[in-house]
Amino acid sequence: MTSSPSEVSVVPPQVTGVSSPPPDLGRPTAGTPKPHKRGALTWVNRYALLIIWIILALALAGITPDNFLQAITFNTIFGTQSVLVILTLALLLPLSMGDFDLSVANAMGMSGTLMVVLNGDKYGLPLVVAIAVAVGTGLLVGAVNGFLVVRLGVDAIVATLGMGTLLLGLASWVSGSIIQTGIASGLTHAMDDKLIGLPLSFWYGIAIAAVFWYVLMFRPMGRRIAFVGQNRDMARLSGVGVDRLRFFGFVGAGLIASLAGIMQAGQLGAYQASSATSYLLPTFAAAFLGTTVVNPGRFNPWGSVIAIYFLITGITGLNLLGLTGWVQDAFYGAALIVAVTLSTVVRNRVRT
Amino acid sequence: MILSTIRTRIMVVGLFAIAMALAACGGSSTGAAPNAAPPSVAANADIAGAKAQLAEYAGTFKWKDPGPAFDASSAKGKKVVYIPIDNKVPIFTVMFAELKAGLAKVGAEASVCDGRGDPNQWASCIDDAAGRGANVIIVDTIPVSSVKNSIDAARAKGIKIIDGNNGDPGSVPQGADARVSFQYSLSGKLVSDWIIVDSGGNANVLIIQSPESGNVPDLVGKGYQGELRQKCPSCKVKIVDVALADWATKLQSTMQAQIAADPKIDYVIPIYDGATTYIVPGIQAAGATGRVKVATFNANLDPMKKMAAGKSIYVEVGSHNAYEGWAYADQSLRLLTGQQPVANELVPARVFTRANVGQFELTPAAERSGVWFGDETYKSKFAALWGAN
Repeated sequence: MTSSPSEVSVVPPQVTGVSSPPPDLGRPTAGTPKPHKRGALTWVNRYALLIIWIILALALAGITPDNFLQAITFNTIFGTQSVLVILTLALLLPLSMGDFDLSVANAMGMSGTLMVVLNGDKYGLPLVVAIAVAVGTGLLVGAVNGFLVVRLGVDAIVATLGMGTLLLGLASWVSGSIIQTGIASGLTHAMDDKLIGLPLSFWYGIAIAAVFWYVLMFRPMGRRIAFVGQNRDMARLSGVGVDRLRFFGFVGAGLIASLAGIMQAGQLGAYQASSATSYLLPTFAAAFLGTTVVNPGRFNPWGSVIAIYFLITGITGLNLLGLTGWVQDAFYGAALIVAVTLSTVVRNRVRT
Repeated sequence: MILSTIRTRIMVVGLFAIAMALAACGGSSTGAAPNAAPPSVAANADIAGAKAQLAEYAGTFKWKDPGPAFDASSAKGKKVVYIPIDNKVPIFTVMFAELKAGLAKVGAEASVCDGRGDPNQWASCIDDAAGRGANVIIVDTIPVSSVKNSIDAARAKGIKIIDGNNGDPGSVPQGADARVSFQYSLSGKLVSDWIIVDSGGNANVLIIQSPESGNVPDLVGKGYQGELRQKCPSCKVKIVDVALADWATKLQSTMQAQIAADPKIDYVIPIYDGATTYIVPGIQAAGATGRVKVATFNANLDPMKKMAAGKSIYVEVGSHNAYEGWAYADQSLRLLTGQQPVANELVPARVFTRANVGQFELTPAAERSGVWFGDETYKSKFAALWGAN
């Protein structure tokens, strides 16, 4: 994950006169790493959140060993929020290229609603049909987003915010604004059956994160995505198909968000259209918190995974300590602020 | 050039003044103007019946054993996990504290897991409770069908499930073993009874509901709407939907629009009194203060204070939250000791009106303690039922 000679090969030779570090945009990018001093500070910078997570777990084990050190705690932390992992990965795709997609949560909501309405107690259509419709809808949503933002040049935040709200309305209409119930047991088994003590849904999240990591790190497309995220104009000048990549970023986000909806429908066996909206902020929080670890300054899949499970560990610990309500929100928000601030400060120090 | 500037300024000031005048004319005094003439009484309305029902719930509640006495000592050391839909709602904190206090009388334990308003978190809390050896799980205002998989998995382990506040007592949803809840349809009927009496059977009522709430069929269907239909055939009833998530953004404008569309509306029933934060300004903005009366359910502190201050709210039907905590304990202990669960824990309801609200201490502590409904002897009565005195 550090700089390697193969990165340079993507850039045509005539543009390689980049002896100085690429411009610092002041916000996370998926760009090529900047030359930096090695040393303990760098290492801490890279893995600070991981260390904090371990300290948190140890502290909880110390404060409430009877409750925390149980097998079920492991499952509660790792086995129950895989939907958030997949949704964050969906968001990472356009985000890595500098595009904000605010419709991912409601795209998931639309997908989940369609799954339960079509396959559940209401219509009872075959599972395959429901999945096909859900996935198709996700692709369509992504394509429309991509068309609006990339082709027509509409501001991404505005376009996807509108799309997200539209999806919420449509999902409420499709479901009659009430909870829909029923899902094929096959899907539930595919999500909840255990593998090495953890539900399959957890492993799907890890698998998708691994695919992301592999593509972003080792495939030319990943290099190109990183380049687009770092400097769109320079990438275009270098012959990278920026528009096509960004378009597929949105389509990919829509597709993966619809997979998250399918997963959630399988896990819960029911769906309420309006419940998906609340996932938007935690997803962004996880994506940004993920930039503080593993590849600091860049959106990265493993960083997001660590961030999510760190936050869940905190929430679980608070529950075990009987601290509920506002405390949990405060923890969530404070963790994000503190982590990103520390990471920025350390990164600046490392560079100078 | 200067002249045109001055003319423009005069025009602007003039328009402004006209706008102010219109606004002043539109809004009326903030005081509650009583109806100019007493309402004519509709012959087909059952006003006597409404009055009788209101009288039954006008005072402090009288204890009645919700079920037979039993020996709860074998529940010692057993665990109850309480999972509210979102622990930021204050009533759940009260209920959990009382549940815990009640269970402590026989040495049983209670813990809480915050649902955070997230279905995945609800499922996670249930799975976690099941994995930690809970004996009873209480899901409060969480529709059992929305977490069916986790509930079924918990039941497969022999864990008992109590469904809380998702509908009238007496009917247990599939997947749960027992229910504890407010008396929704009764409360809804009481609200409508007050309207029927106050209007002499001639009300034009607007009900604003949130369709996704599980207790809508009972509170609204059987309660608000059902009672109006049954006892007040001349009453006009209209129902509009505003989802809970949209209250902050849509309620006020919906209220204004509805009043503008039908200026004859004289009563508004928002499904829960939390809506009054937005409804009351909406009425004011529509210039209908004094003409439109708000009747609602829950008796939370802020709306009660508004009612005491004479701001648009005329009647509140409330439920005894602290008692419900002990009712949860009672139901849990019955399930833990192999008894038959009780069909109706008789959580007290009371009608608060402008006439009687003045006698209550309107403070957070008073609200939490349940002193508005009666004294605390119900706690020792419950303990007596359990053989725990």
